[in-house]
Amino acid sequence: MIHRMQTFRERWTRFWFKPVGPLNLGLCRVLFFGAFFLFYLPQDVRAWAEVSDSFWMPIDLFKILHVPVLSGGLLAAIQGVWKVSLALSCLGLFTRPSTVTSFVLGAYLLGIPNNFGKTHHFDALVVIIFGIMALSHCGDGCSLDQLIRQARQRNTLSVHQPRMSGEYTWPVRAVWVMFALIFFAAGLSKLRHSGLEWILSDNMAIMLIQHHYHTANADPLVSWGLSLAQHIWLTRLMAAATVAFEVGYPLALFSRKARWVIVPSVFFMQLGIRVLMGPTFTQFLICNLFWIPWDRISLRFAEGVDKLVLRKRLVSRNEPTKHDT
Amino acid sequence: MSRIKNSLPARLQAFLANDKTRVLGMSKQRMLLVNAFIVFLVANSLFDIALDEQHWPFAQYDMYSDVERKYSVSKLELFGVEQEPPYHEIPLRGSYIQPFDQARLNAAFRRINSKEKREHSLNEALLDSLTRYEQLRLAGRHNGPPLQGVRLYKLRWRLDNQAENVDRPDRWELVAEVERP
Repeated sequence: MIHRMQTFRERWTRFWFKPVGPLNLGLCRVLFFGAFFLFYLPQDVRAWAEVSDSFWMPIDLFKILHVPVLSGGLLAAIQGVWKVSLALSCLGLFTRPSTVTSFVLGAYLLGIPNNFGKTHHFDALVVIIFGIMALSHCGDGCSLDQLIRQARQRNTLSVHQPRMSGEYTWPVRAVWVMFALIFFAAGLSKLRHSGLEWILSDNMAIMLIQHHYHTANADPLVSWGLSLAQHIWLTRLMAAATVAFEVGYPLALFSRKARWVIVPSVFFMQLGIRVLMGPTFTQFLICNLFWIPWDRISLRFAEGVDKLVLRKRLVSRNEPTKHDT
Repeated sequence: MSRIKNSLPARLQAFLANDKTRVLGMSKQRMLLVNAFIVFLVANSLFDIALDEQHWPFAQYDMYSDVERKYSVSKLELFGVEQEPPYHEIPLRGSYIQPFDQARLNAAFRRINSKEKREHSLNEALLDSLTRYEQLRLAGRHNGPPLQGVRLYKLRWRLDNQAENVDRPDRWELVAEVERP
């Protein structure tokens, strides 16, 4: 029993806290907050302040904490502060207060629409990742805070070197685990509510047609879904693949090979849902950036640039000058 | 801080005091905090999955989990009645219903319509939709015509393979209507 506990503890520590440098998490921070700053910049929640109370059906978070929808003026101010905090989080300036503000105000602002009749799941993962980033040390790499810190330390004798730490592993892994839980839940829910009938019946074909009757938050981008629905075997295959990838998503946490198959497949599945059926999963698609090893990509890119510069120098050295001729 | 530490169980105090190894680049207090946060995230997710409930931002992600058996679709839809004769009815979607989207507005009306004492709430919600439509129109946020009222219908279609009947539901059932006061 003790041996098992020790093995579990070792595996837990290895998964969550494997020491790495701060670059990958820093780049994830830049891309994540940058993308969502651009995504939410044109959006405006002020209109919810004017919606009648007859539509007010608060979700638990708002009901339990007695959170109201503030006036339009206050909402404008809050969303202004929030968008600035998203930009600062991206730049890595005042990173801790910026990411905490992004989380707290983001949970409020993104939660508001869900109190009016229907809870959309599109923003839920984003709020959770805001929370993860707020608690993490994501400002230690690739940030203005780090540059300022280094500049200050140059004036003193000790120069701070970026260290390897488990601190930069767990936030990325936490996002992975949330992805795995979300898709596992979606797959399990289908099996729990409908069993194999979800796959083996005309269910997918019917859904593909239904979505051309303006039933989702957005309409399909193309009418290919209608053609696909005519081939029942194909729709059943699509349904089977959907459930298999969703239920099997947790495998991506532990197997690199599975990760290479499952993560891109589910990414394109969500893209396919948008194109063929309508529901928008833009936020989910963006969050997939946490699966990419940005530190390795940036290192390869830097190596490539170095090689190019070196080759250019060699070529320019070997080139005959006018004096030689 | 020391008072908090002293109030912890003896084993936990000893664990926290033993902060000589920072092998993972993290203090033990920090490690505890992060582990507690991870457990919080995972436990909340598993809780909702196990109980088939949702507590936003955590959820069981049950969308599209019910099987569709009939080649039909029904939904509530809001229509505006134009102010000028011949008083055409136009479906209110997209920019006409901001900040709602189609799915959220349908779901909201469905929930209001399922209440026991629904008449007052329904009328209020419809009047609110009409007022918002006009405010958006006057603000130049859409190019829709002026409306004299709105009607909420329950629509039902038999599915067409090419969805050619999307503008011609098989059944229209008037649920409620309001006119401009």
